[in-house]
Amino acid sequence: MQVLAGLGANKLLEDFPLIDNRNEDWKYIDYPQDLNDFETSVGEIHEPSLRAHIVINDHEYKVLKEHTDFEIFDVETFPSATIGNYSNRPIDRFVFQQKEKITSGVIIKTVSSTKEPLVIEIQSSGTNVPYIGVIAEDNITSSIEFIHTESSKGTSYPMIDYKISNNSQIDTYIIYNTPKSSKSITSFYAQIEKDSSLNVYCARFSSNFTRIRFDIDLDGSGSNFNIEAVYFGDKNGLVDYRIFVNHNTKNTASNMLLKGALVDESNSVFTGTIHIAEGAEKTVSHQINRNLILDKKAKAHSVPNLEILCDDVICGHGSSVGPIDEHLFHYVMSRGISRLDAENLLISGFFNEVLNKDKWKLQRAELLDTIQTKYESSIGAIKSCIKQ
Amino acid sequence: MANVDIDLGKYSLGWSDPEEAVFKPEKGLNEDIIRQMSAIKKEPEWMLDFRLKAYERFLKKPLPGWVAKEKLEKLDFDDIYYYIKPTESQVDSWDMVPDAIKETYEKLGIPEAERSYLAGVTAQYESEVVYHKNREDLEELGVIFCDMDTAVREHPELVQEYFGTIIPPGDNKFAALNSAIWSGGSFIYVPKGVKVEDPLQAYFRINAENMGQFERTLIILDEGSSVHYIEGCSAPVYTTDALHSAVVEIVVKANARCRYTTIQNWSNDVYNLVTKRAQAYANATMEWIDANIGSSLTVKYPSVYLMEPGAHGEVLSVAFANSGQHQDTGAKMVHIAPDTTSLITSKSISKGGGRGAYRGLVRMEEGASSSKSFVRCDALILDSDSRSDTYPYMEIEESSAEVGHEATVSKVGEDQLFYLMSRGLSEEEATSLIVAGFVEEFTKTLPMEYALEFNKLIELNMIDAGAVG
Repeated sequence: MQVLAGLGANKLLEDFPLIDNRNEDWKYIDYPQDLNDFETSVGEIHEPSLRAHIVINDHEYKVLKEHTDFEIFDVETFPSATIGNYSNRPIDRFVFQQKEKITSGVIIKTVSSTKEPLVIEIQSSGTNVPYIGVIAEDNITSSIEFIHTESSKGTSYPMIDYKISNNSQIDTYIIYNTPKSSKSITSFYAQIEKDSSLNVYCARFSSNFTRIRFDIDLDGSGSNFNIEAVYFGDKNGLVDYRIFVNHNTKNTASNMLLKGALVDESNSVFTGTIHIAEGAEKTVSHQINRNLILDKKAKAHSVPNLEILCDDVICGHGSSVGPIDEHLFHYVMSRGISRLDAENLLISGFFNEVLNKDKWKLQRAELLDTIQTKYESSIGAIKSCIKQ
Repeated sequence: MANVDIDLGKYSLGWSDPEEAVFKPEKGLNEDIIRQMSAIKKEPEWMLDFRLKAYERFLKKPLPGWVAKEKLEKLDFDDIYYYIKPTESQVDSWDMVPDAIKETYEKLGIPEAERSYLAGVTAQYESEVVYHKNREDLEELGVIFCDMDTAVREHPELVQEYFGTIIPPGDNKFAALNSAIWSGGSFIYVPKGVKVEDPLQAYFRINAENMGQFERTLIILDEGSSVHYIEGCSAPVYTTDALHSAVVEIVVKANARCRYTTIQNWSNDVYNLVTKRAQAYANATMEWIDANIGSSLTVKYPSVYLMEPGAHGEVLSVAFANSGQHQDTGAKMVHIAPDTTSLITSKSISKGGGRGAYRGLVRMEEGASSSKSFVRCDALILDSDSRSDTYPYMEIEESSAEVGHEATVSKVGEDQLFYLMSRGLSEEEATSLIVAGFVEEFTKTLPMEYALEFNKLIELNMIDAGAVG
């Protein structure tokens, strides 16, 4: 597979240290036991959703319907290593295994601008490692959506590579709404050139293990990376975000807004580093993580790091963890609304800061519904948490 | 190990004074040095045991891998003097302090500070406390303020109860090193209900080339008492690395209040690796006020363990990283009990290729219900060669706890410079003024002399990267 030939070339699995909790990148989580040397396996195939253009399961990828604005290639036969700037891309034991154990993969090339997203459904029953490479040519505005639904019953370790050329804008939606048995660890790498932007919209409603690591290289002047994310953790689910943004040149920007609520015994992790390299002046970067803890057993860990090697930058981050502010309760309840309804309203309001934006309009109704359902099913737990 | 006679005063770098040490072992650390040192100090058996066990721990512990790895690896533990006894015995009157030592203090401004209002002076010159004075009315109140060695001899029951309990020797490699070879430092005990109005002060400095300084401070505040302790450090400029590795343990019992102010102004070759920790009990308040200027590498995260309901912890820190310097400072707040609160404010300035980092932890243990913590980090980068890092860890295991964190990193604003320069200030003066404003939150907590001295240090740092020391 030529596309990934440069990644970890001449290395063996033994060359990489074992994954454990002492490692900063894997801290705070109970990862699957076999992660140090996992095996792929196959299981049953599920019916894909009607919206999907491409479905990827344990066995293969399948193009279900054409999308005229994209060309699709098999990763095995794709001729050149156009995607990876692998000298920059961090590689650990897990990424190395992903590369070695890819079960099926596609390269998606944008042909023309479109508002209609290309929908890719990622299924799993056994353990699979899908590879999705995206090449965006110059002057393209396009959109891609990854969905993990009820059909993600097993374990999936997707590997996603983006290369965005000059003056393009790619919106990417990553939606998880998976059953309790599902596990997922995604490695997402993107290289963004001059005046281009990558906007990621991520929603995760999961009762199990979901982890996603972004490594973003802003290589061209005027490039930018934005991520807006909402998550709702329940049962003993884990929502784990690791976001590393490298501002490698002048005039780049990044913006992160992650908001989540946690009930039951769920756990959220956000660690991220904004790295502004020497000479990357005029960088603007903001990083915000807000966690609402709605249950006694829920936990949140938030570590927003900054590494700044030059002056003349604007850089800020903020993060908060806690229950809903009592002042807000007072405000709403003084209008005659019960405590529980007030909480419901305030949670919707909390998420609406993100979901009310135009980019979310296709998903908004469904996502708010999901939040409502999850919230109602945990309501017993929430009641016990409410301060009298 | 035999005592080594050294021709003292044979070098005159910076304004270091000729050395007049009466005992100076060879470089490096081994069990013999520890035994010999303990014997000279006439220490009880338990302290020698404590030291030897800590030494074993020190040998076993690895260097921390997560901070300034390259600089730490350069540290040669065998190339350091671990214990020097500067004068034969302690003195209790300023007139009896040897002239050479006095002159050094005068350059640092101690006599003025003392004359004005400071309550007691414990000045650490090299390893041993050589001058120490308690105001009589403090003694009448039952406040004990003495050097740590005296405390081990004269107040063994108090020392033994708390020594090494807040920071056990196994905590980290440098705490283990300090536990093995500690010398000097302050001991303060404030009895129930006693409020010490004026700040207590100690002044530290390093004066022998390649000499480690391992002072050990233990402060115990009994219920309802209060104290403000000021620790200031200054070291003359040397060309080889010196190691300073202190341990400070503080117990703040119910309703007590402790403020611990540090101004550290190390010369550019000093490694300053310090462990500071306090335990605050019911409704007690612990405040660390911490300024770090100079040094090659500073690693210091003052921490407060909030043990009982109502406890409050605060850290206000300022770090100035100049050329060749790495300031890795921050704070830790561990909320163990319900209704505890904490506040961390960190200001860092990087200049001339310096690296300033905030590394902090707020941890809410399960059961720390309704606890609140807020962290604010501001960084100012003065030129394009410098670096600023922020690593704020927030670990929340309690649902009703509230934790917030805000950070900004910026350079000096063009509009601010324009405003000041249009009033006739040079760019340098204007920048200096803006930096002084940036750290004002810190400066205003200091007694006046200290505030003046601190502003002077900032000014010196702004003008010439290598001039402070």
